[in-house]
Amino acid sequence: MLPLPFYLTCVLDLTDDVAGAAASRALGDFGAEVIWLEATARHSHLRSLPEFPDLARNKLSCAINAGDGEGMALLLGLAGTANVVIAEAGVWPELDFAALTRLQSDIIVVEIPAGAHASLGIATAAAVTAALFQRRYSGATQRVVVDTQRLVNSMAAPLLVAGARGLAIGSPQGGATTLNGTSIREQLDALGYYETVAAPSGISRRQGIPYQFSLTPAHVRLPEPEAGEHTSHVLKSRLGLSQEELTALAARGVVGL
Amino acid sequence: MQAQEEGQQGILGSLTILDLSEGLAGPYAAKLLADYGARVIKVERPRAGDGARRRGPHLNPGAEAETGAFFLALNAGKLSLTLDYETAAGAAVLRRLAEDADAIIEDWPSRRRSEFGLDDESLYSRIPRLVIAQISGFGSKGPLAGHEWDGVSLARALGRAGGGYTAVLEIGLHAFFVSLAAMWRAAQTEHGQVVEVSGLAALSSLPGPLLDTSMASAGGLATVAHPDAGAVPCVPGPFIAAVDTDLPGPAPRLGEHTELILHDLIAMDAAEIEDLRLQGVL
Repeated sequence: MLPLPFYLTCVLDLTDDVAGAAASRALGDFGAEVIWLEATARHSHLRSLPEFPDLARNKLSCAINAGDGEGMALLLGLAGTANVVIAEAGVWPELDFAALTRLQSDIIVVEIPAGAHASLGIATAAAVTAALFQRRYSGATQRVVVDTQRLVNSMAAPLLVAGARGLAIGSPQGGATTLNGTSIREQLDALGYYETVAAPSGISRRQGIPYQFSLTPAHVRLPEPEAGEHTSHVLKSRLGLSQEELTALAARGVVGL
Repeated sequence: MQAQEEGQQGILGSLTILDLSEGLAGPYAAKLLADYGARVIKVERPRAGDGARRRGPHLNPGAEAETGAFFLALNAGKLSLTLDYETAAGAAVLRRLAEDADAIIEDWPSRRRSEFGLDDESLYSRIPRLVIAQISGFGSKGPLAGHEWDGVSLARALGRAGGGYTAVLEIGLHAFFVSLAAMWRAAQTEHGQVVEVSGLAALSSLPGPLLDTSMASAGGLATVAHPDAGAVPCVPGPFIAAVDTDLPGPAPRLGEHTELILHDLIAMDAAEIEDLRLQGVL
């Protein structure tokens, strides 16, 4: 199988909302190693959403208590091994842009607003990719801020251009053709949109990758993770922690295994 | 492709895009690439141009062909080249242009590219790193492939509440990401590919209602001068990159950059350009 576009790109997802999840999913779908930070004390609210299995595919869950000093030190260590950090602005001051660039001089940091619309996640994934291009050209660290008002304006550009002259654009009514559920499912099926996925919850047919790449088709490689399912793997492989160290950290509530 | 000039302009200043699309989703995806510094060449049919040029409302009723609000908004910062690629000579020029492009964005019916010698085999035998982003409503396979579509109907059928043009522009947002992802891979591996974005699948992939754009505001936006429309709000892209792009230029007049592109990009001399003009190809 040929390498996917984001092969060898490690993305540390520090977000806890739909937009961030959609962003890191898009990157994970196309080969990035996505490490999603979850808290140890409580499950992410995303886990209660019916679309969670689709939003959380192709990611690793790493549970660290970032409110604990030891936990924050682990998180900083992880950030030092990532190529890209996606974070909600202002949530972790210790992980602001200045701190992250001290860890890695060419890290890419993308800040998104909390509670943003899911489509902002697609804009974020594009922002990450654009930053990868710029870093390749300049070798420098990249900081990108994705902004809801800018997204809203961008998606309403024709209305803003018309509105500047007091002109209105009426809403499109849509075509007369009515699509029924059966025809939609048949069409998505024909596009290879559905995949059979084996998860701890069982085997199910679920949403797959919404785009078709002729050379590097993407698939659901990992089902949605259990909370902290990959903490051991991530901290061992990236920070060289031993099993004894992990067990001790878990006993103190610093990490969730 | 090489940076367009020293100290490339904008985060995507190293990229050259051929925009062959004519709906709303494709031009929006290409506009987003232009927002971040990509050189986007909009290829339009001579005399007619992109249909959006005539789509109202028009900022200047005396210059309708150049001042449709949709065209001005979704094509800011692009270059316009007029080319009748349905002629053998025009198709040959398009193939030459493709050799200097990182990506083609198109929303044509399936297999239409083949009619102009732009089928996958012909292109990839000469331009292995080219990315082709195909945008459609239903994709290229299945019982609904090729059917008429619109964003409102798709979103309604998928239960994604909201209206306006948000659905079709959300599809363009997906195409923006997907074309970038494919170009990123091509930049590292020298191998491009065809990437398909179907509106049905793209809109299905995000939960919840469509983005609410009722809070859109032109307050604080800079304007750019358009020769026929006057001052037009300059609407930037959804993210702020450390490497700023100068404000993108206005939407281009029809064929405004034809000679510049043919001369600078594919080294066509004045005689050849004039010959194509006399044939009605430009």
